[in-house]
Amino acid sequence: MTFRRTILKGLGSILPLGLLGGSAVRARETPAKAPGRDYYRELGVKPFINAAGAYSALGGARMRPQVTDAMRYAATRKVKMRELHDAVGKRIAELVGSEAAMVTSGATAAMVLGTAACMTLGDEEKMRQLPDTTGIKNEIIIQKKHRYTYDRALTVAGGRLIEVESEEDVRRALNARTAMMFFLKPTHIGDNIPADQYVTLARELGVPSFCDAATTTPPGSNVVAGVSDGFDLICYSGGKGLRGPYSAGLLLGREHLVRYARQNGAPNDISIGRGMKVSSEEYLGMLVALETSLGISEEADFAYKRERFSHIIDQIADLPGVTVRVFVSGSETNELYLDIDWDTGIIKLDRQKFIDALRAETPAVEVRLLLFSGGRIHLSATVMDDGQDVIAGQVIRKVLLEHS
Amino acid sequence: MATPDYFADLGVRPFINAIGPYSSLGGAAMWPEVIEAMDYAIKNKARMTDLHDAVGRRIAELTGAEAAMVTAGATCAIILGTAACMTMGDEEKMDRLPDTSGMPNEVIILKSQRYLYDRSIRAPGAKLVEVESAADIRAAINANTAMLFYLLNRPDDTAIAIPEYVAIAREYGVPIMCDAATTVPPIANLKFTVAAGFDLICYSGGKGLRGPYSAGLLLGRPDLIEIARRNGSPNHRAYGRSMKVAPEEYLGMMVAVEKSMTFDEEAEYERQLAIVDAMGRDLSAMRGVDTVTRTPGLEAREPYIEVHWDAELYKTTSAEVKQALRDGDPSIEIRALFLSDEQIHLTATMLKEGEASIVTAGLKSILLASA
Repeated sequence: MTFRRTILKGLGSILPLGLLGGSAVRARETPAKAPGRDYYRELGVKPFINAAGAYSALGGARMRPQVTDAMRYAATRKVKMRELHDAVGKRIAELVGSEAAMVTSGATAAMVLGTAACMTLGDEEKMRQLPDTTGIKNEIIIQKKHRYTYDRALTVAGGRLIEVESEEDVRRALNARTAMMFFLKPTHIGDNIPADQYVTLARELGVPSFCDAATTTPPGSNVVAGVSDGFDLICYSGGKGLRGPYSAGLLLGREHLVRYARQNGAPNDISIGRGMKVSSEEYLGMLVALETSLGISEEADFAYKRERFSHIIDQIADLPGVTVRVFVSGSETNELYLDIDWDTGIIKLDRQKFIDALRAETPAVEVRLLLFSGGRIHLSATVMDDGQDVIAGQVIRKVLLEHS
Repeated sequence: MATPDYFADLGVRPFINAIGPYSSLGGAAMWPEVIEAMDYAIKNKARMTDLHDAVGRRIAELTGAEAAMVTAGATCAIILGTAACMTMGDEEKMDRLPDTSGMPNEVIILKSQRYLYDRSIRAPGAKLVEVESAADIRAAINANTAMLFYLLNRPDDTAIAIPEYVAIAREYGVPIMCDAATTVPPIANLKFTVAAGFDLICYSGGKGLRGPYSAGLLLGRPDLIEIARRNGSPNHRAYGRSMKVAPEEYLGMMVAVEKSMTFDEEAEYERQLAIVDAMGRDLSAMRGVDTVTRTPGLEAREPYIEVHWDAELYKTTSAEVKQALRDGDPSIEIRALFLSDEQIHLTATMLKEGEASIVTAGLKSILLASA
């Protein structure tokens, strides 16, 4: 224990966390040149280890080296944005098997631009007029079970949500103002109308269908599978499971609808989406993230994560009352998690206090508290660098021991 | 592992930029320090709220503004600032945008300042109310007025002086926003707008400040900046959730401001002036071609040359010249003024070593071919 506590004290300085792994775990990326400015230290921004997952509020995913290389490449080479958008869009469409593709400033932007595309269908006057929807189709059909936090994005361009529960409801809701039929996947509580039936219905009714599949990666191959579901538009987050740039996402689908979505976005000056800028490094980085994700087997990905978890488990498995379990989430997203549990008779610490205590440490450690599953503590290794695992394990050990 | 030549693989051509740091052309060249800071933020994760707080404080200190935030560009700054002034932090109202029923949604704008980007004021649901004088402004202000708007350095703008406009805003207790997006350099403009007392000020990050492409600044009153932040990413149900700013852009923008505040503008101006002057001498040596070196007095201080030609001698228009240069190899982008006589503009901001002579050679051959 003395040994561990000594190491922890040494973490007060904000060194690149990957380098603090100790002798057993070598840092993966050793910077070749002398360290530059330590901005976070200057700013008083506390470092943290993200064992929670690729959440936007925590800075998103850990980009793969191929992605950061591509971004650095694009950062110093200027090209015309339209040419870049055309070329990258074409390449992404080839990779995933869609008619067309574009990079957006995140999945939410993809939803806003996709909705705007379905509402205006390329009519320039209507595009200029948004979010005023006078004379513009603006009703978005959504299943009651698919209402969620991010359906907010469907109203940003002026859309109105019309809730349905059955196929009959959809037919009844259909009118001259119907712009789009929205679908969310996956949902915890299921669908009233399953995806295949919804797509067929939309086609029969002649209404563009849109699927938000933002969080359904990894694996990257889910994007190809999602496209083959046949929705007219489908969107993905770029900076989460695909490990692309933080403020990037994908909008895939029919050629004409993606074209309209582009017209409603940056750098088009008159567009409602002019504020949703995507830099050339993000545009290229997103392509490379997708390519890389498609080329990486789930096994390799899981092996990396299992190794991170085993280093955490090494630090805490001997504590009395503590149980650990590595498992694959049951949903569509094949994510590997580490469940940590303890006997509160031995370690007198409730789950929320545990989270707070981890946040108070330096470096802080962020983990997931699942309120809906009886307060389970889950760790994700998706944003964890090689070396951060040991430190996270040490911090967790310290907090658990302090309450034993 | 060597980085592949992505653009060559994709068939995306390099080009020569003699027009300036336009968004459609990828914006400005970032300071090397900005790229380093971006690298740092990619490697080192921070909680977004911590990062936004700390960088906001630092940019405020640097600029003298009371508070600051980084946005996804100047347009985003206008949108979030407008959303802040309309909702004033009321959760229910923020959740409802762009439906602005039951909240102040009128934005007062001078008729002479209507421009391309006033479109973004309307994005979160505001309505523009045009005025032409101080008396008009007073008459237009009512319970539905959310914000007064001012576009900085519009050359033809004499309708109302800034101090008077700001005083009216204060008198009526209505926030006043200034779009100063493209007015840097000189950095003096930034200091001027802060000192002038505008409640909110918008800047582009990826142009004169040479920060990240999809970044901008919103400076101003702490209460309004706080509300603007709540209307933006990463708040899940915010109107502006889609206008995401990456941590590397957030930090990169701060370093761009630091660098721009200390950088020798005069030397950079002289460097650009020497290049455009040389291009001017080169071109005016041609029969029937005349050039004038200019520096805009009001907008961004970027020297350029106007190139005029004798339309009897060279039978081509500025639009045709622009297109021919664009279609050439390498492709060259220049500014063409379609409304005036046959003239084009060349700038040096984005020109790399050796490119100036390629631009003038290309231009000369196009003119000669038309003779």
